[in-house]
Amino acid sequence: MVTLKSVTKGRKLGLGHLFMGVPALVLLLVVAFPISLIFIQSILSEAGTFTLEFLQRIFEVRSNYLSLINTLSISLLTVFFTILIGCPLAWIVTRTDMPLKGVFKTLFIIPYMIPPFIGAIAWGFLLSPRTGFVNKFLMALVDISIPPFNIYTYEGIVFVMSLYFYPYVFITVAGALERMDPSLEEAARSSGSGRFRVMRDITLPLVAPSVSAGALLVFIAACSNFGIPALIGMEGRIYVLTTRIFYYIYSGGFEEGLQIASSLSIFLVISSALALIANRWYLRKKQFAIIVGKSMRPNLVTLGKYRIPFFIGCSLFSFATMFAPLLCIVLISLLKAYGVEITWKNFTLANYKFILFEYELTRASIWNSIRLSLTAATVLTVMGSLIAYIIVRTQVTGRRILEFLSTLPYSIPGTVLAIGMILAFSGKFGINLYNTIWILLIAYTARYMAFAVKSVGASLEQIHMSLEEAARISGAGWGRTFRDIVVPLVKPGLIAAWFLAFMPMLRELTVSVLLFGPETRTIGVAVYEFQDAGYYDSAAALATCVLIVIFAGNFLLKRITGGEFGF
Amino acid sequence: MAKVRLIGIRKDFGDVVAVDQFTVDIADGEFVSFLGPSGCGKTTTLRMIAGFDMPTSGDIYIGDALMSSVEQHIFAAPEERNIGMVFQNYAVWPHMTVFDNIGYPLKIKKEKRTRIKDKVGQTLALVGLEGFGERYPHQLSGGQQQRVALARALIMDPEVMLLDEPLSNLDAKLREEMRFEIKDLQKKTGVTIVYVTHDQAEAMVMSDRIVVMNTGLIQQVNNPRKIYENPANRFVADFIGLTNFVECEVISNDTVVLRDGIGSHRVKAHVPPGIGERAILSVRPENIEITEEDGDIMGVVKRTVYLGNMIDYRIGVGDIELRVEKDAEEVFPEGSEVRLTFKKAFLFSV
Repeated sequence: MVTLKSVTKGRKLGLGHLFMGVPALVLLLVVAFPISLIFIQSILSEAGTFTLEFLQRIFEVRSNYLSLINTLSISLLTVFFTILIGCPLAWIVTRTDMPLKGVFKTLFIIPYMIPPFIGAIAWGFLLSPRTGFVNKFLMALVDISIPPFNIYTYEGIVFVMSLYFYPYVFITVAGALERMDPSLEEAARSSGSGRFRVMRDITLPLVAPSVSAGALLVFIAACSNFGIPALIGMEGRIYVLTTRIFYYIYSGGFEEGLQIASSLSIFLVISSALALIANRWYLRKKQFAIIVGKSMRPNLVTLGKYRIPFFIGCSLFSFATMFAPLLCIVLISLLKAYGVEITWKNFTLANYKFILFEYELTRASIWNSIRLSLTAATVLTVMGSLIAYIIVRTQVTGRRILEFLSTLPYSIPGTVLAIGMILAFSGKFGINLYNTIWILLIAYTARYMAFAVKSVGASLEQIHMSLEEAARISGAGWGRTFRDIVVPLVKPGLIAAWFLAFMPMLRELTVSVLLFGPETRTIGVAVYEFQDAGYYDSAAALATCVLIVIFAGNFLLKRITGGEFGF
Repeated sequence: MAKVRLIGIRKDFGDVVAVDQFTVDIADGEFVSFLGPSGCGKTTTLRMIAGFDMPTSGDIYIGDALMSSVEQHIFAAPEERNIGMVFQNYAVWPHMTVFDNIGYPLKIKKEKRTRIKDKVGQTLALVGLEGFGERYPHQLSGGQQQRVALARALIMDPEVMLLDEPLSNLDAKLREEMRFEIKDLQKKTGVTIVYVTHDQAEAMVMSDRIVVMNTGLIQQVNNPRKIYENPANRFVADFIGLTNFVECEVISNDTVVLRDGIGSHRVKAHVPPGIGERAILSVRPENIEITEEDGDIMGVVKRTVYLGNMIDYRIGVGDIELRVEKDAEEVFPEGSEVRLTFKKAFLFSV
């Protein structure tokens, strides 16, 4: 008995180590190494001693200092406005009897699916001072000569960010409001509290942790975002850390630019880390979970005579913030030239023909994005599943480190990851992948690995260990059990992981814009370059193609996984 | 304290009639249970008394005050009813201490801090939670959270306390203990209690009267003993305690012939069925006399289960099987032929 037991144990351990070796080595090379280089680069002098000189020196340039201040203030303002938008919307769709609230619940999540840089392009089309549709319309309507709106401002950045990041608050708060046990509120009613008192004493304190969680996600997303400040802020010379880093990589000279860029990256990491710490500190005394297992029938507020006004308000909001910008992009993509009158004879498919069949640069970038995303999604699903299995199912020492390393590239801003990649793989250490497709493949795989680890891990946790044990008792070996039991049961998680990574990679901008070379443009980069260079109709056509793929992909994902994933 | 009157209550959820024709008078200080399987409308009725659901029709009085009347367009909000309620999942607020949870109803009434402190102290003592005031709910066991919920309902000196399956999340031993504690609390405070449960033992132990419900309709209202000994219909006989059902045919006012002609029997019928009609005879296991020779019905012992204080027999009679309970003094072995007499049985229409 004793011998048998030790034999099995020994084999398990050996297998585990072998099994863990590959992902561990890969993660060390493509995650731990590049990211630690950023820190090393920023705090070690040439002689190899500790120094804060680099970090201090970057602030001698006023624009660098301003970019840090802008990052923090824009992110904080965005958090404020997303709470202001997200919480009431969440309350309306979960706790009132407004008509069609289920439809609105899906609608309000749409901005989450739209790449922020495409949103920025759309709002530029609507609110740019000279050519924006809204400005032109208002100026014609009331006969004024000064355009009422200018999107290319500090406020413009906050405005667009708020509209594309509020779903983080909306989703977390709506979830909390739905899962909150209704008897908690009923108990307060029985205790003598009126409706509004209950909201103040019970509902708000209980959803506060979820608001804070959503706010944290917004803050990190706003700090890390490149597309919005690049397409809206750079025109008016308003820099944030991500765009400032981009600036140094492109016009700072390789060695010195990279040095400053990595020092700035440190501040970008610190900004998101500070938010994380603030969130922890806020939640430190709130150790309660309001999440109840079974689905609840929440107490609905009867809106009465306000039902229709609420409905109209939500419809207008959806139209103005979702349909108008999207329609605008589609419209411009179908026009013969940007700025021409909108009449039937000016409609054309020429822009699509140009970007899809004629222009070599866009054709190459589409091909690059597709092969990158297909390969990276497949590699990271296989590796991520392996890592998830190790984390959830084994007792191997060091599995927590694996978990940390595999999710780290997604928790830090994409800009920082890209800087790490440049530092590590541009020849300094014997590997030169700069300007090749490989550096993008590694960056993509590392960045979205977390999706596979989380989604497969979640599926694995739902499978009770006894299902595997029953297979072992029935005579199946470890490998056979994995193939016959584990893989079929986690299949929805695998498919979801693949899609969840594939879709954002297809239109990735933040990382690509720092890593692409002359031969390795991606779709995101192509859209960005078109827009930046003023080829608005081509930018709009390519953006429309991206949007179509995103919506189709989401629909497909929802179908395949039976509604468990996708919106 | 107050009486509660429910008159002709009906509640529709869309096309579904959850409760109908519900009329019950609950006396001041009485302990009444609503008992029935899940989906029978008992919780819906309780929530209508609390004011969380509005009846589709009917009137609800608490004390002499009309709280809810569709006809007269009256509906008092839950916070206006002075009702204490204990929920199935306790509903103890996780972001407040035990003290703040229990003191909350007084805080709403804008009582003075010193008075709140005294009253919470007394109530904590009443439910046996002295010294727990500063803890948070997640630091308490399920049973302790339940006591917090009880204390919070009691502290406002409610006219009526509503308890919605308050013990169903506790383990068996604690559940039995709490039955007596709740009953004790009621005796000490004299509060009127309406108690919802699907557990017949719970209802039997605690209630002055039980309202047995099924499919939204009241089946019987009476004290536990009457309900057990005199079930009003087949549902009540089946739901409360154990019983054998045998198909039979009525041959005279008080005599029936069992289905396959294994014997005729004299029974007391609730509603005398028409002569010649088919009916269902209900007889509880302890009401079947089992002997070797005396009795109208012949059977064979198929299985015996020794339960300590008694023996549980399955007796084959023709092609049916009857369950019989008898004390363990005399044992009839499996396979032996026996004779049965029904000491007490009821007739229900098919």
